[in-house]
Amino acid sequence: MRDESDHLANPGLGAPKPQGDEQAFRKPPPLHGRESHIRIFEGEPDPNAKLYGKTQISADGALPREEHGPSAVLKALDPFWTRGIIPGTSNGPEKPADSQV
Amino acid sequence: MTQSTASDYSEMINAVGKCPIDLGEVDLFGAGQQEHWPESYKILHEESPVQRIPGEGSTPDTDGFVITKYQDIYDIVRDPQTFPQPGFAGADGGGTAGMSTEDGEPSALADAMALNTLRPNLELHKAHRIELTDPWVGATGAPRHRPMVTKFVDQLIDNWIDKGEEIEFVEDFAAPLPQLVMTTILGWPLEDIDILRKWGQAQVRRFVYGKGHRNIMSDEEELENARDLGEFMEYVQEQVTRKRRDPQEDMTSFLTQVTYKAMNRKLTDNEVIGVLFGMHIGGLETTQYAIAAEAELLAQNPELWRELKADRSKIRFFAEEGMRIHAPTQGLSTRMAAKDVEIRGVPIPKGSILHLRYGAANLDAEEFNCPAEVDLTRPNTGRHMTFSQGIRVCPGAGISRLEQNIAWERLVDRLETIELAPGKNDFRHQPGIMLGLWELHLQFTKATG
Ligand code: HEM
Repeated sequence: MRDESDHLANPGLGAPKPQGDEQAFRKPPPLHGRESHIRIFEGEPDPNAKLYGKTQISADGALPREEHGPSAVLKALDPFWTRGIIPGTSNGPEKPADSQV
Repeated sequence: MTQSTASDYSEMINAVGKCPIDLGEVDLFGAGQQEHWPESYKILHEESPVQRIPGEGSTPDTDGFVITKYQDIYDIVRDPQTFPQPGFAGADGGGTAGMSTEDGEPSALADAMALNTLRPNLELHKAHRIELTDPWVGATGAPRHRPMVTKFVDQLIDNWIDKGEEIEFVEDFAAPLPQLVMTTILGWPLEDIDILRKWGQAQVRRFVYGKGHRNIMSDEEELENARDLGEFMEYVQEQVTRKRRDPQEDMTSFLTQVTYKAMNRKLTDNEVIGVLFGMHIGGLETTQYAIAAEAELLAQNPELWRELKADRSKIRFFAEEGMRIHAPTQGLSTRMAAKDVEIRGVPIPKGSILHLRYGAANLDAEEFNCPAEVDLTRPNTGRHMTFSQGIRVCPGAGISRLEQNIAWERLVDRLETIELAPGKNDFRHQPGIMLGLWELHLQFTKATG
């Protein structure tokens, strides 16, 4: 169990910032009239803000090239399910027995 | 999930956790603590609604935070730009933090979506749901499975209704129903159900036996699991090859044939397998846990059972209340702070991982009056967080709700009473971040006429 001796102040994260010195922030809209408790400090705008990954939209209907076999598929899975741990890579244990790769 | 796997988890399974009386004793991830989550949530709501877990963020110098208030979770899941799905294992795993975007620039926004070729951005995420999963398991597509689901529900009841007056409800009903339904929707052979169940358990193993909010397993466990999943992948590949050659009326065939308009092309094998993997992992134990928890509520509350028997239109409210009070997906989801934020005055630097506690949001008295009570007239009953909300909301909610509703429609029709079997239940739940009863022994009487 972590040390919660002075949890309310959230140790190590600094005291709440003084009023006059506040950074610009935005808030999510209220929920049933209740103000949101979240403040989002935008900081410098991210030039890639809209872009997450490589889109594979096809100009001519052709499919992208891909590797085959269980290891390749495990790598292609949504990390929601794998928590990003990919067997057979530097962040996972050795790859499973895989006849096709 | 059954209790037998190659690794020995008996200590974890049998651990008895102490019910916390103050914040210092709250540890949602401690052994045996799943039996005391409601009490822990109450303490967290009052004293530490944003609870820091030092050093457990996306990198060794960032932290994790457990979020328990309804409104905070609501705001977080509805802002995927600020709070994307983390695409990495966390500090220990190295992972993909800092992966680059299309033009090679590293970006804090390059989240889990970036790894999924079918929906690397929010727009395609929506298209993925509308075009690929909704027609089969979403609110629009699920209702056409009503006859099939009803048939399986009746078959399962037939297996035991005339054989005695006692059943183990998890093995005799709650577990096989989603397995039969999903295997049929996917178009895979029903004779493969036993091995599919084993692989299904490998799929969720991380969420049951993984440690802490990042569900970390040892290298040996990862390896053992990767072997099982590798076998499963080969199996799914065989199904995909078979259905490409000879398409039928099922979801696997559909995915092999469909032209995904959002990308102007068909799907590759790996992409099809990725969607199927999600259907199989998402569609089994979650619904099992929900149905079992609902049975426990009804067996403990004969008045409620009679209310449903008297008025079937209340079943759908009952299922929502069951899922609210005993959310199968207590702590399933995490998000990353892609910007510096502050929640309830607690500074949360960019790169922190947020562990969202849907089960706690559902028991937040600020959102749901007398949250522990089943109230079929609650005006906001369907607004629970059990399926999450926002862009990543569970794509299988439609089929799961259908299964739960039909299960109770038929059970209420065919049984006169259900009660707990005296002396046989310990009401223990699996470890991990989900909430699932191991077993539930019930006595029943058959309805007459
Ligand atoms: C009571 C039953 C169920 C519950 C409580 C449940 C809950 C959830 C939750 C909370 C999420 C995470 C959403 C987020 O992070 O915002 C999720 C995701 C998911 N669920 Fe379900 N689910 C259930 C049944 C199903 C079924 C029946 C299927 C498939 C037919 C399914 C497929 C999925 C998939 C594929 C995802 C990943 C979504 C994504 O990556 O965008 N679930 N579910």
